Amino acid sequence: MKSKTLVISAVSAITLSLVLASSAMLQPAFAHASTSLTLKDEHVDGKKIRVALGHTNEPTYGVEPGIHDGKHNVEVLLSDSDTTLSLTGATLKVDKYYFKNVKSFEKAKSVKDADEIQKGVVVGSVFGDPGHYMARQVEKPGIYGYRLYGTINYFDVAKIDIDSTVFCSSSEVDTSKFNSKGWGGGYGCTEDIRDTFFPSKNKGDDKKATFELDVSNPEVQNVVFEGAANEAYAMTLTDSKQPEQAANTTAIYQMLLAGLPVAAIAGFFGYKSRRKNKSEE
Amino acid sequence: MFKTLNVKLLIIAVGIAAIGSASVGTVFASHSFEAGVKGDNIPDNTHVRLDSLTLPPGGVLPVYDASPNFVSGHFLLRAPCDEDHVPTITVIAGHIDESADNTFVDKVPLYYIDHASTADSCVWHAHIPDPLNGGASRVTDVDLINLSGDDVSFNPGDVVDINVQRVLGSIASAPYTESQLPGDLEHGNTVYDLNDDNPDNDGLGFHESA
Repeated sequence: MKSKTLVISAVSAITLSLVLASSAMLQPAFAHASTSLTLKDEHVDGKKIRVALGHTNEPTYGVEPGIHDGKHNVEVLLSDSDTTLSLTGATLKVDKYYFKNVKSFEKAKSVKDADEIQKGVVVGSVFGDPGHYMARQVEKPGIYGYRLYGTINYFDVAKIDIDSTVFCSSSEVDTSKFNSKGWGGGYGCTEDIRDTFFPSKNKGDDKKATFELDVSNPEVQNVVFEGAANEAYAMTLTDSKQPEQAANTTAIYQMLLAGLPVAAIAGFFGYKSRRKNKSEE
Repeated sequence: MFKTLNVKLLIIAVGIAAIGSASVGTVFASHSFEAGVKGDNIPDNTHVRLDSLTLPPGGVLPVYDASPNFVSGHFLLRAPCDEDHVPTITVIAGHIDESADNTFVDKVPLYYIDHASTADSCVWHAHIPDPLNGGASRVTDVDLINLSGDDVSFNPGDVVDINVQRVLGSIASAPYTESQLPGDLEHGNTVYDLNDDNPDNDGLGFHESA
């Protein structure tokens, strides 16, 4: 009886520690960065506009063939602060800044030192969703920042210009050094989805098994946007140097995941049968 | 030969111009801040007949309460009015909380519809909320209140109709930070009129679209 209590306690303790460990590994989910603009107009003087900027589908992970499509579009939400009514008719663009890691970001003295820059990307209105503006993109793990500029239309009565920069928020370091004044909240920086693997993988093996997808290449972007996610990866896998290795790694993990419960059940019945045999002896 | 062709072309051009001018003449008044229904959702409608009802001075008739959500929608009222088309009842909207400190209501700016009004009663439309012309910015409650000092008796056919088209948020996450109670208000809504000769009382945000 005593030993039974001991076994139950041990199992409970192990389960609890596993649950706590897995929750600790979760990436903190940021919402959107937001700022406020004040109108100076004879009719609507002092009215405020809320500008929210971030990525779709937080938390954001970089593209990982066969696992995650990396599609985290830049989105902007415009609304009247008092009523929260959506603001339509804005003309917006972003300049995109990408730093591949914290070291690169900390070394930078200005946004011009970014590892990759894309300028003048149109953030277009989303059909059927007033106040929602979006520019499609596929991300890689790293630090993303955007300079948002253009003109916002306040219910056809007044217009106001915006030109403001905001970077993603990292759980590791402060990434706000290039932010314009007035931004609050934040959107998360883009993580490596392999960091969420459980059981964790050998990082060295991962590097061998994967390949770089150049998301700045317009041809690659078109492939990803126009096709379904799996089809896009099928096409990019064909172009990769080590596609078989990548596919094999995924298959091994799938087999392991499927096999674990079977092994556990078999072990349980084996142990029970052995105990029965012993008691009969 | 060419002369006949020119005459035919002239007739066609005149015909096209006539059709064009006829379609330009058809205009619809709208406001850019009207959110409307999102996607293919069905709006919620409340229709309250007011005929035979008499509100004493200070009397209140609550007609809509969406708490804790603040909403956007369209409002219609048919009720007795004075010679300036101001309703004898006052239409108020905002948030009426259990706590007076968190209660804020204001008078709803109304658009008088002359061509739908009759001798005894006027008809008004209003936009809930109206970010340009005044009134409460976050509306959970709509009420009729008699601030006139006399009894208000409604006529046959008088009605209030509220069409709520979308939820804008929760008052719990965007509470009012100042209080304004129904009793703090005075009789008389602001009334706009798009159909008279005065362009100064059209309100803001109105535009005509073909």
